[in-house]
Formats: sequence, structure tokens, C-alpha cells
Amino acid sequence: MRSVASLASILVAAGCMPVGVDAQAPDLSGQAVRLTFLHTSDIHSRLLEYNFDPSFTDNGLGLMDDVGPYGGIAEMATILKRERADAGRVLHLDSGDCFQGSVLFNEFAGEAEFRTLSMAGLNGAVVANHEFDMGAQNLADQAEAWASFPLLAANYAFEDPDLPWATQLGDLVVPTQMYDLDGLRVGVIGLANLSSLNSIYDESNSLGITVHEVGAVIPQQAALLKAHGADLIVVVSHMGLDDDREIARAFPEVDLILGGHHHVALNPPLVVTNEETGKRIPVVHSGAFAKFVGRLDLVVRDRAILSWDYELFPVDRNVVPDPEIAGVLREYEWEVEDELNLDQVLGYAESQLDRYGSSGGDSMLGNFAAEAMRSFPGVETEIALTNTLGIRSDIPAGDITLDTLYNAMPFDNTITTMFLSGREVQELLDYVAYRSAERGCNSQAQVAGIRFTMNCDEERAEEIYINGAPLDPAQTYQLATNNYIAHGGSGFEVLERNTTQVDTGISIRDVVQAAITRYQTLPQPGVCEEDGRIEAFY
Amino acid sequence: MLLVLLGCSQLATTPRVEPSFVEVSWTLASAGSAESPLPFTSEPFSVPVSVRALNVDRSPASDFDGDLTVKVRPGKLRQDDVVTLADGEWSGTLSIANGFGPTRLWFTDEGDRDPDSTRTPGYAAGVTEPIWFAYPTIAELQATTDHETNQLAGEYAELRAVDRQLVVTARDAAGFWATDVADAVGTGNSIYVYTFSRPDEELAEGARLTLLNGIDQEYLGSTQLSFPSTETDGTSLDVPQPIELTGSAACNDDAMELYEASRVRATDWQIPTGFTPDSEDYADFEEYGQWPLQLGGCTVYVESGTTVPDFYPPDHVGQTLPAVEGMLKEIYGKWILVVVDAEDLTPPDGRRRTRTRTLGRP
Repeated sequence: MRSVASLASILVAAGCMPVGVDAQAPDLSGQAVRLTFLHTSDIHSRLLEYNFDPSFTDNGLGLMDDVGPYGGIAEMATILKRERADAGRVLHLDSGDCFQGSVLFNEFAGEAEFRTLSMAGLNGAVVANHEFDMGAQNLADQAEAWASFPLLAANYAFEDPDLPWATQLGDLVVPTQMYDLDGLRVGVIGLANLSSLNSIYDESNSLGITVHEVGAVIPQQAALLKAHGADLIVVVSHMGLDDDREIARAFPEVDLILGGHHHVALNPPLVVTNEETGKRIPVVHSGAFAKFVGRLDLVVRDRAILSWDYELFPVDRNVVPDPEIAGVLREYEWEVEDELNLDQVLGYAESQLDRYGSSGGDSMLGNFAAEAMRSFPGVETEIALTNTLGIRSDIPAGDITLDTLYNAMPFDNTITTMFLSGREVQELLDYVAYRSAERGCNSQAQVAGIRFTMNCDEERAEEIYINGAPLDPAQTYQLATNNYIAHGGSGFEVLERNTTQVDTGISIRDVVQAAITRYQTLPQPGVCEEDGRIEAFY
Repeated sequence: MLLVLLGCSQLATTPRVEPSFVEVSWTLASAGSAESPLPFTSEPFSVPVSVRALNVDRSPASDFDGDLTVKVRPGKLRQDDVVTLADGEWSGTLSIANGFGPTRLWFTDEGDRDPDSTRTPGYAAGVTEPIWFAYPTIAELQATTDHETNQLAGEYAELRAVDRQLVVTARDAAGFWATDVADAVGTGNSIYVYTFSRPDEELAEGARLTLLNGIDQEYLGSTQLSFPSTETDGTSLDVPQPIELTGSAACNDDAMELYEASRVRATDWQIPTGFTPDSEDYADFEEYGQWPLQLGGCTVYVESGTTVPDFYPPDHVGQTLPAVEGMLKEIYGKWILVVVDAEDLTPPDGRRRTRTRTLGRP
């Protein structure tokens, strides 16, 4: 399937931009009309429904307990098609990160995500950081083969002649898209992620991306869209909530932001007042992991949004799956089952195994994973540290299947070992405290062989003990960590610059799987328990 | 060089169904203005409205007989949410409440309410010009008889700030508390604002807020704003003195509700002798870190684990604490003092806690 985005770019480059008003389109001047946006974001490969315990916040947003399984693209498609049918002028935009988060991505590299989103009628999506998780070439290939919707990124340019995918992505990814909805022209600017895609800042810039300043991109692209008749300027973003707010505040051209990246669902949307015009800008985030579909209704008149209303639809077992998409998904499921036997039971969780600590410090799953890493044959280090966000979900009580494990630990990261001085361990843990302080003093790392106080107030680590002994700045310690943060991911520069790194090639998920199989029942005394090894203090 | 390629998509919409437009007007004597808004009110406010359906060529859709769905944004509709147009027109009076800022009434053709109707909706929509209501003060927001809600729960609330005296009274790792000191102490004039991460330095204790917006929600029974927008003017206000908590107040939910999110002080309250490992309170302590204090048979709870971690309440069962200060929050009818500074807890020996701490506490 040839991408519409690519075709559109070629047409525009050839001077084919539709200008003037369609003879059939109504004259909307002076009249209010309703415009509906269907919004999804951060689906993270949750194409198949899955079980988890909804949080209090989820409950407040309408995703209730005991109506699982939740999520699923076939279920989302049912909602999307239903709402599309109950709207006049309507656009479905996605704020990115549809890749990475379940075994379907590990096995099919994004094909299933792009294919089913196309079937669901998606009209456009911003390119996000996890879309590159299997490399830029993979993104290009999957988009070209399966995406019938434009991929947007106005702040990326792909222009490295030495990297074959750069030219390909340069054709596939457009900065903006104009949608003509029965006389209402909606100009959409894509803003791709900057904060989480370390590769674009590598010296080698291994993705072949040139990053453009958002401050230059927005005014220029908005002016271009307006010159071609855009009634509204919409930003579809994967910049994150803080950047989205800042964009709404600072750029008078922007009328609406549909954002993602931080996995939050906001109902109602935020309202940000533009500092120059006083215009009130809705900032919409519709959650993650296929838990919700957002619907925003606007009333628009003479290039201005007059009012809006927002609804968030939970995706639970009460939603009947779209049969066409469910059929396609079954083919993928069968193939995975043949290969992996996802339903195989690895062990049993007597209670939910939490990925976050109850008071911001160490967590059940974090301790379990870190201990498994450092004690695995062939690794066997004194200490281990891994990033908390590498664990993507809790493991619910009940049978622990391979599928559950993939949902909790979808990343194909491996264990990297390295030697650190005591001073470097201090620096490493100081960084953990600093990064955690920015996130509600919730620890952004999980450890084994280490006990410390994470002082978020002072943004430093205190009272550090290594296997029971106080940290010695002059001593050398061997660390096991994951290769993502070893390469500087999430800002772990102290690891990135280390020259003693050895990537063992051992999969962290495999190590955790082996540990579950060994213990069978979790938690046990001293195993998979929160034990206060990281005490959060502020 | 910036990219200038522009994609274009002409998307099909449903076949055009008349009416294409809805024109709406009100006949209020005064609709306020941004500079001089009408007062915020939770009482019904009447809006005389005229509605007219138009065809795509702007001619009156005089053959249209059908329902339009009514909404008020922001705010609440205090009546039926459907009006029925005859010969393309409707006029009448609608009742709304809790509008704030520019408030508009919507009329949308979403089809007829009658399930037997075969009419296809065209989704034409119209809105009134804005009616300007004042933003609520914190106390107006909190003024409900039902403790489990507030006037704008579920809305993106904008609070009256610039002409008030909103002061930051305390901070924690994920938010801050604010009090409008233009109102009297204990009038529901305080609120917690959840920022997710530690508030910026400009939101230090004593900072005067000139803007405070956010998603208004009842979180486990306490009102909070989340994902807020804030502005300060660089000046400071005196932080109100803590409200001295009496035993009788602690037994009176209505009284406590008015103190919610304020700094309160419990002087000479006792950790009850019933706080033993087999008690429900002890189980809650182990799970949530909250421990009880009693005076005159009335109980409040304290959260101090992350700020005074070396104070271990089970070691002090039956003892009287000279002073505990904290920010008051409710969790489903349970009143809790959140200690935000180690010096706010004076243990039985009278020695204020410091930030020196020890590891290894079970």
C-alpha cells in the first residue's frame, strides 16, 4: 500500500495544492459549524485486549474495575467508527507511539500497528520516539507498506544521503497536512518528540534526522497553511504536556493542540491562554495503552474556535470488537502462538506485582528485575540498576503468562555490565534523585545491591550502602544495567561515558522470565517485595 | 532550510443534510463582559434565547421540524437538554448555572430524541455570543453541602485570583496548597494543587498567585486542581497561622470541610492506646503510613513518613504529642494532617525533629 503522505508530498511538490474553494463546498463565512476530532495516542502496540487493575485515576476517567480485558485496536475501531458516524466534519488524529509495548511489535515490527490503524480510518499521525525502536529503516518500510495515513513531523528533516532510509522517510513524512472538510480547511502541523530520542543528538546522528527549532517551524508552517486557506491550525504533537502548554502559550498561530507522550488522559482538556492574543487554546491528551478514545467537538466560526466539548470513551470489554480488524489480529495471534506460546504460565502472582513503590522508592517488580539481572549466570555483578520506566505495567494477581510478561517488559533490552568508581556510583544515584525529584519524587531507577536515601529536596543520594557496607568513593564496583541507559538513554550520562561497558547480549526479559520460573510463586519473603532499599525523602 | 512540503487531503463527509447552520441569539439585559462579568452563581440563571435553522444558502430552513441538543460550556444546564424547532425556529428561556468566564449555549442537530424518528441529523451547530461570568473564588468553588463534590468538579476551573489574595501556604513533592486570605479563616478558602512534580521555586511558601487554573477534581474526597497553570506577581503575602484544631471540630465533618487544605495544628493530642498491631488503624498505617491522633474521643490521622521518617508512631502509643501541624486533607471521610516539614511535628520528648535520619527502620 503506497502511503498517502508520500503521494500528497509529490502532488504538492508538483504544484497540486488545492487552492480556492470547492464549488460544492458551502460558504461558511459568518456561520458557526461543528468540527469533531477523534484522538488517540501512545497506543504502544496494545492491539490485543489485556488485563490490568485500573487505577483510581483510570476509574475517575471512566475505566472501571472488573470490566476487563481492556484496550485493543478492534475495540478502539468500534468506538472510532461509531463516533465518526455520529459527526459531520470529523478527523481522527493520533499523537504517536503506536509502536512498542506488546509482543506484536516484537514479532511484527510495527506492521500490525500501521495496518490496523489504517483499517480504523486514521487520518494522520505524528512520528514519535518509539516509532524508531527497531530503527529508522524499519519505520520507513512499515510506513510504506502499511500506513494509509500521512505521517507528520515538521520539526524533523531526513536528509542524510549516506543513510538510505533518510531519503525514504523524507518522502514519507510530511511536515503538515491540510484537510478539507466540506469547506472547512484544517491545517495540521506535526511536532515530533525531542526529549526522548537520544539518537537524534548523538554525534553520529544515527537516525539521519536534522532537528528544526519548533520556534521557527510553527510560524513558518502555520503561515504556509494559512496562505493555502487553513481555517484552523492544529498541532498534533508528541512533545509532551509541558512543551504543549508552552507552545499554546507562546505561538499565536496555534488554535488547538492534540498531544501525547506522557501517557496522561486529561478530561476535560487543559485550557491555555495565549500570551499574545489572549486566545484560549485547548490542549488535549487522550491517554495511552489503548485505554481511551478521545472525542473533541469544536464550534468554529470565521477561523476561530468559539467553544468546545470533550468526551473520553473507555475501551473495555463492553465494547464489541470491530470484526474486520479482529479477523486480521487473529492471524497475527496465531502466528505468535505458534512461535512463542504466549499463554504459557510462567508462575503465579498471589497479589498484584507493582512496578512503582508505594512511597516513591523501590518497587516489587523493580527489585525483582534488578536482583534477577545481577545474579544471572554470566552477569553476576555486585550491583544492578535499571530504569523504572523500562517496566511498563504492573503484573496483575493470578497466573503470570508470557503475554503478561511481554506487556510488563516489552523492550528488547539487554544487560550491559561496567565498572564504576564509588564516586561514579554517587554521581549515578545523585542523577536518579535529580530525575526523580522532577517526577513527584518517584524513583526513576530500581536497584539491587544498593541501599540509599533519595533526597528529592536536595536532589542527591545520601547514606549509600553497597551490599551492607558504606559506599567507598575510591573503590570499584561492577554494575549490571540495561543497554538503553548504558547508552545514555533517559539522560544517564555517567553510564554513557563509561569505557568499560560490555553488552552481554542477555535479554532482561529472558532473565526475569527465568526468575519467575524459578520462584513460581510471587511475592515471597525477600523476593519481589518492597524492602525500603530506596527511601524517598523530600 | 525548513521543509515547506504540504500534504493535502479532501475528506468525504456525510452527504449534506439541511439545515446547514443554526443561528442563536439571546436577549439578556446584561451579559457582562470580560472586564465586568456577572457574578459566579450556582443558582439557576435564565437566558432568553431565539434559535433559527438555516439552509446552506442562508435561507431560513422553514421546513425543518426537529430537535436540537443543548449544552452550556462551561457550566451546567439546569433543564432538559433538547429543544424542538417548528418551522425552523424556537424561542424560549433556558436555565443555566455555574458558568465561568465566556459561557456559551450550544445548539446542535444530533437527530431527534424520538427513537422512531427517521430523520438523519446534519450536525449543524450554533452557539450564543458569550455571557461573561466571574471566575469563582476558592470558597465559592468549595461551597457545596455534599462534601464529595464541589461546584466545578470535572471542569477545567479558572479561579478568581488577580483581584484576590491567593497565597501559597505549603509545598510537597507533588504539589502545593493555596489559601485565599481575602476570605476569613476556615471558610473553605483553601485548596490543594497537584503539580505531579515538585513545584517551581516561584511557588515558594508565601508567594502571591495571580493566576490559578486547573482540572478540578475530587480526589478521594478532597478538592484539588491538577495540571494547573499558575502565575505569581513576585510579591509575598503572610502565610496564615495554623488553625487550632479542637476535638469537637474533628468530630464535625461540616466544620472540617471548611478547614480542608488549610494548615491546622493539633496541640497535646494523643496517639491512642488502641493503636496496636491488631487494629484497623495499624493496618492502615502499614499500608498507607497514616497514624491516629485523638482528643476528646475524636480522631484525626497524620501522614509523616516521607518528611519525618525517623518518627515511628508505634513507639509512642499512649503518649501525648505537644504539637503536630499539617495540611488538612480528607480521604473519604477520614481527616488527615499531612506534615510537610520535619519541624512541624514535636514528639513527646519535646525535641523537634531534624532532617537527620537513620536507615533500617522496619
